[in-house]
Amino acid sequence: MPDDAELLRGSVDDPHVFESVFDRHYDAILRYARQRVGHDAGEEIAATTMLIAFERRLTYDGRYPSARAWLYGIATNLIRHHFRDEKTHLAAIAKLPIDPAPEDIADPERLDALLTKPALVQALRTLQPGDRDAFLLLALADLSYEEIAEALRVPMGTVKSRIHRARHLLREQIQGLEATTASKGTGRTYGRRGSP
Amino acid sequence: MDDADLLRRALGEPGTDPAARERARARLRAEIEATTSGTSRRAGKQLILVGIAAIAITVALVAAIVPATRESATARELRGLGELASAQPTVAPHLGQVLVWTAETHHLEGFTDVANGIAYELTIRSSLERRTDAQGGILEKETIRSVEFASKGDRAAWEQAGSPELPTSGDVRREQFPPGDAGWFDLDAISTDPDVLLEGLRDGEVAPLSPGEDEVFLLIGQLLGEPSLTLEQREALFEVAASLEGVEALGDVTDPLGRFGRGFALETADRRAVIIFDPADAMPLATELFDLRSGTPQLFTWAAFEGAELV
Repeated sequence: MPDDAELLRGSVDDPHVFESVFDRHYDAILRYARQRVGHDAGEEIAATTMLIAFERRLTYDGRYPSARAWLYGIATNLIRHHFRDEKTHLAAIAKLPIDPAPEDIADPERLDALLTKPALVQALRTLQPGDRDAFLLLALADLSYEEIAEALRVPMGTVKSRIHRARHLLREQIQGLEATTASKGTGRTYGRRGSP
Repeated sequence: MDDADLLRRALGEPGTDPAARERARARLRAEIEATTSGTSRRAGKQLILVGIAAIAITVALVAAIVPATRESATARELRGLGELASAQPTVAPHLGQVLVWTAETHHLEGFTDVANGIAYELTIRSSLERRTDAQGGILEKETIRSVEFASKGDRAAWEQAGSPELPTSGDVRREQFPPGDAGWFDLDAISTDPDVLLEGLRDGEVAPLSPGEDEVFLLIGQLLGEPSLTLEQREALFEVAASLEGVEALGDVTDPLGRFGRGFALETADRRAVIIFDPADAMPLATELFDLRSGTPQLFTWAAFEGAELV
């Protein structure tokens, strides 16, 4: 099966070949965009990402067999334009009441995540854009550090320092919530999250 | 469970959306059809114009036309930025005011031990501040953030030289330039005639530079970052950038400080020079220089312009 670089090369002569790249990556880009900016804005960003990628297929750096990082990079830059949508979306998520379902209560990790969500999401809003982009590409898109460097066109060292900063701030927020929760006597203790 | 897992679980994972997928596919197909129609007309015209060697000549012509089209679009975008830049207000200090310009840099600095001639290079990360008064006098302050050897070979050379004292984090270097002396470049040598300007850039009259069109391109970006240029000088620099052979539009990129901009690159065999512009006002956000010799682009020097303000 041809890799993305081969497909993009082929799409220069036969533009229809680009649809194979679309089929491979659209769902993941849509998921990422919707997690960041919400349902409607996310759909617009995912569609525009593919259109921009098609337009720029001529300039794709063929040394990278997978276009995954490239596409996430385009989507992330588009999301920068939609910074108001992202802030609104994160603010809305942060304010949603926590209402664990029975299956959430049965899963301690899932329950942990739910109870920590407001602090986490609030902390995301306060991150510098570059730090937020790097961390969310790791957390939501599951890119490697190398892929994040490729997507954001920054050195690996910059990726590492951005993610380190983001993690540090997020942990402060989570530990702040733990302290508050413990002092309110929920009867549940949360251990310190381990280092990656 | 680490914080990335925590976030994933907290935000949940939206499922696939076949309807959204088909809407996006329809838009993509419309774009593909528009592109396909355009290509067909161009190919048809080529076949009418050539004879027996039509196929070979068409391939050569198409190969020439496609890159030329890309360069033309790039040149158009650069000229558009030049127009935007020339519409921006110039910032100059009046009496009692000082223009404060700041930048972050990551650059190579060469050192030569005078006793034995041994040379080595350091990579220095620093913060620059330049204060210009109303008379044109400049006070430049560089605060060093970090220092590293450019390579193991440079460290070895330094040790061979007797491990002389090196600049260190926290060091501050100051330099003062009288009115009329802009420091690292000659403001008066920046002609508003693009052809004369290009000659001046290549010949090192504007500022010293190493050989290579990538150096010229990088210098253009660095000059555009200077607040003391006139609008006509800026426009001429953009025109020169647009006219250089091989300049490529990179589209939306992120600069070393994480800011979004429009990137342009000029590549030689060994290096890629990049200028990143703020699309809002066409001011350069950053310049970058990549080493291509290893096969993977290695960013080895950059400058990020933070802006200028009157105080």
